[in-house]
Amino acid sequence: MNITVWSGRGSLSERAPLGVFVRLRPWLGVLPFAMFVGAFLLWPSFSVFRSALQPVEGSTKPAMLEAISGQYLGSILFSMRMSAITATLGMVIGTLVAIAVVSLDRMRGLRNLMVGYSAVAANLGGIPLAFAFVASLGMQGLYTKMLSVIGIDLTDMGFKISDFSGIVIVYLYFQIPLMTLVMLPAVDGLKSTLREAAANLGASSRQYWRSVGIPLLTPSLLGGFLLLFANAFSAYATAYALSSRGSRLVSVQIRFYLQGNTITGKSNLGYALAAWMIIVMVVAMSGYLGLRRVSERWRR
Amino acid sequence: MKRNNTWAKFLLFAVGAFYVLPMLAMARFSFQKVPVIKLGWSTLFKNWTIEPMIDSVTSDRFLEAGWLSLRLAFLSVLLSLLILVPTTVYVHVRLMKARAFVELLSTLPFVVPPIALVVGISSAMRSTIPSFLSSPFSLVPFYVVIALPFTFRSLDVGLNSIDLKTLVEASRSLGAGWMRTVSSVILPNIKAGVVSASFLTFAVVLGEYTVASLLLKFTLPAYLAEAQGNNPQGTFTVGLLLIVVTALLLGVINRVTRSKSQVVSNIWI
Amino acid sequence: MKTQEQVLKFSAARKSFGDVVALAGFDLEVAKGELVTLLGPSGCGKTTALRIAAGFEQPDSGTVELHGVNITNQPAHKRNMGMVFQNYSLFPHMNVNENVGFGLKVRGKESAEREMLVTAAIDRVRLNGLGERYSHQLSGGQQQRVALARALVFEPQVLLLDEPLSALDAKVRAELRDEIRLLQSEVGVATIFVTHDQDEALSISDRICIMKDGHVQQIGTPRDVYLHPANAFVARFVGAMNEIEINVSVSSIASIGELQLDLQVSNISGPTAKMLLRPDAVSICLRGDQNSLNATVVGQHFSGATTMVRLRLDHNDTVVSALLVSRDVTVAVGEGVGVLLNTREAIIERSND
Repeated sequence: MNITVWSGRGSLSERAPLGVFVRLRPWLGVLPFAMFVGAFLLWPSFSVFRSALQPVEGSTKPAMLEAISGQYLGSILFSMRMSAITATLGMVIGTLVAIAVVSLDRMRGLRNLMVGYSAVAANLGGIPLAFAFVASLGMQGLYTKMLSVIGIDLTDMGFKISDFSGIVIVYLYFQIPLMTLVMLPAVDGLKSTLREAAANLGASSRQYWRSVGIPLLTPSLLGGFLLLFANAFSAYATAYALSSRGSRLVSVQIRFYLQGNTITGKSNLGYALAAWMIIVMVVAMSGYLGLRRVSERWRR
Repeated sequence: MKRNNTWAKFLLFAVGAFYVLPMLAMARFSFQKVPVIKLGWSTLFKNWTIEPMIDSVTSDRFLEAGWLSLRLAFLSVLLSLLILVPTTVYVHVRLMKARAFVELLSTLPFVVPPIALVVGISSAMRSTIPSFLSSPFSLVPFYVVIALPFTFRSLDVGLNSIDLKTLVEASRSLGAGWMRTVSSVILPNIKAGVVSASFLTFAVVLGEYTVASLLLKFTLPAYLAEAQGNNPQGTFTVGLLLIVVTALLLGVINRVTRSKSQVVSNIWI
Repeated sequence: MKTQEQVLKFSAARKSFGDVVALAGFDLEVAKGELVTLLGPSGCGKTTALRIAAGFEQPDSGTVELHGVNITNQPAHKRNMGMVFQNYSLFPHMNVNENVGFGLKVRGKESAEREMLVTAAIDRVRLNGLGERYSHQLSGGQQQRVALARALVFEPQVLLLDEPLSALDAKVRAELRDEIRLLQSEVGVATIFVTHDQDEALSISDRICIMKDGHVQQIGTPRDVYLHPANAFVARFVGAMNEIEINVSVSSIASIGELQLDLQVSNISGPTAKMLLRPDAVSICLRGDQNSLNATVVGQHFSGATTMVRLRLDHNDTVVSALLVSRDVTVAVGEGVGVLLNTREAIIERSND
């Protein structure tokens, strides 16, 4: 006599392997999306790495290692330095703007105006922005001329919009508003009740900022820095429009290694530089996203 | 607690000036036919003209580039919505577990700078499917990818704020078929997200230079690069026009979403 | 009654915000160990008074004194008071230990002593072992307990509570309410508790100060305020009230329908007035009994020990509620009964005031 006792569950997944497929079936719904991203983002990206790992003509080292030696390393570091500087300046000024906007909270119109324009300015760049700054501070720039009238001669001072300092100023046009947008929620989150709680517990203004205010802002500050860094590092069009040939920025240099000529033999180097760019971006963006999660958790 | 706020007003004024002045200089250059050297109090109001602008916007090259950019923009918006709306709705209604996965894929484009993406495209596709790249419309899927982080976020934020699954269940229990549920329950609730995703994609496409120029497609930004030599003033007006259009698009998004966490990073790099 | 040491004193404190008078001539004394509740609807000035005590607002005129010392213009962080906020206001980047220890740290206590005091405070609010947690890992009730520990650990001279239970759900609210009272009386600190919930006020206060539109309506013990409300507003705000229209004859005799009432109505001018009567002053008898009004039972709300019986008076269809001990309720809905009114503590309100 055979008595079969059924357990109460008898779920599909227990009837593996068929059960596994049944459980995974709903995921088919996101397959088209995944395939799209795979084809148009992942495939090109893998291609970059595939070419980057091949050696440059006339050498046995994979291009990626070649790319971080000698002169090529110089351009990567140059880009990183430029990005770090614009990120730092953008971080400081953008944060101050956010704090200023929140402290003037009685003037709602002013806040809306600044936030609204920041949303636009953070997305401006490329050729139009370059145009605007050439018209302002270029050799024939309006403000170059105005400054020379009051005795400040920019060309004498060696300033050129296409130089390092010029590019920094142009980049700040979108870095500052970007940081402002990142910091506004964080500064808003320093609710007045926290300040009152701290005061009630005996903290003076300085103690409040040291023990509560700045620690609470730190993840957003660091995260914002990383975002700005990534933003500047990956920029191409603005830099190209300002200084094309002479530029030591990685992004522009890649173009010249790959200017449609695979004959130069140095094309793998271009891919290598692109690959290193991606790696830097992954590190920076992971840091940003991680820090953003922390600050959002605190703001709940 | 009273605080001295004059520093705040001063700072905002200074930063505001920094934002506005370059645009003013650009406008002046575009519309005033007086070279900077000759500019002075006496010549300040002389020779303002829209002639160079007319020359530019009526030129063949501009019309060609503008028409291409417009078509690319519309197609990119269409493709974006076609792929993302069903996917995000499906995830929210049927499979929330997949949301993190979709979000991850949507954030990946951030880590691939356009310059790296375009060299990858060349490397991957030039040898395997060269005919694909020769069409100017090949830019469309890549533009969808570039705009992906923003478009996904727009739709996702909207969907997060409503419990779509419950709404759909309520609709079904009241007897509505799928078509009716989609049109009466799902679509109205994602309107704001769809609008802002569309406008964002549009703005991205209008301003994108890197991929277009390296794949040798003649879009508006490419026109700007080319035409600045022979008609600088006219070209600058077109540049100004692009800025104004982008500002309007983003301004509308601001109004529609009123989302405080809408951090959009630079889309024109 | 033992004389208590007076800790906090408001004298004629006034505060306006633009045209709105938030607080008008506020006088209050709080003694050591006493819990005084400021009770009233929103906008009555209770929160303003509390914030003036804490130092977050400055009164336009009048003073605040702490142990006889004028602290009206003293900055908030020097007042040595502990405050618990409606939304907990815990520092999100610090764990429970660090939050509770913050006040001690600011006062320069050494780390070893801090640790000891913090652990004791956390134990006292029954959160033993949760010292390493962060606020987002705690429930609302737990967070508020941390806030309480944080406010009391440095032995403040006054404890201020700004609607501490409003953000919590019902069950937690009831539990925490009693715990706060227990803790407060154990520690023996002068306390001001602000709330709009009269149940809370009645159950935990030593005295209640009822406010409306910036003015104090009545200050008294919960019993006083409930049984002897100073005016109609207080009568309605605290506990439930029946409102019955009465007629006043030219010779100042009050009556309802045919029934004459044993009431002093000498200062009423009009022919009608409103009588406010507690549900526990209404009882049920047989139809036609002496001094009763005829009515029909229209509803019953059973609440365990007590039942609220709703009755519609025959003569003018007014509905009154009678609060009875459930065991004594023998009537059914639809039945005709007699209603007895104990008018000894009724309040008369002029009809067209």
